[in-house]
Amino acid sequence: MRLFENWWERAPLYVRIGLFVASLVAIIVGGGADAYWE
Amino acid sequence: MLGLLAPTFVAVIAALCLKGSPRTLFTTRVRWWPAVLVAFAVELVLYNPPVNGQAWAIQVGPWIWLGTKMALLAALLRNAWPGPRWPWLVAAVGVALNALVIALNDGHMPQAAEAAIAVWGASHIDPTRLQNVAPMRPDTVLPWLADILPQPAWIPRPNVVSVGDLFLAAGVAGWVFGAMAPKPLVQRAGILT
Repeated sequence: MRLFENWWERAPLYVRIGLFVASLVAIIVGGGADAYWE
Repeated sequence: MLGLLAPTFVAVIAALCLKGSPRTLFTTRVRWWPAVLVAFAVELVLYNPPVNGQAWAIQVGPWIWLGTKMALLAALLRNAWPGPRWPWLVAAVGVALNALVIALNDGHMPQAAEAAIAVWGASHIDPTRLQNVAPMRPDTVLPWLADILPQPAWIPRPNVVSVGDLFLAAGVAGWVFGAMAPKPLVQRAGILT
């Protein structure tokens, strides 16, 4: 896990933006329990 | 689903209006982000064709779903410490409440029929494929924590959400605002990011 986490800090800015947005959507949609995929 | 993302959009706009910067968001990594993305990817595969029509998926899928919730909960708690950082804790409470209701109701989130009718005009639950929600019954455990809150019709793609969903959405929005807002303002408000 630490290997991947450290990679975040070495990644180009646009990759970090993409990872950030993907992580945020994954947390909210993945953690939520409303009906998929209405 | 989109309604749960709305508080985060509002937080971004509010922080920008207060002369905040999104740079901190992209320089501060989400801890355990690979676990978050893998858990979400598993959910996407599980609840979409062709997997959601498979007999094995209908049988064990709900418990795999609960496993992804536990992985997300672990990641949120990892982000809350060292701290505590309250926005992550609020989000973790939301996922924990959802996971608790799912675990106590056979791996499904119970959905109130009247709320579903208010949003879609009818219940969309199809028993022939794997779905994450199930009709609420008289023996549903913790019904007040289930999907009972209809989102207003003016929200794009409205849904029926739970109390846990609201905690989750508020926690993530709070973290985004805290990370973007000018630091003096954040410190005065007591938001630790």
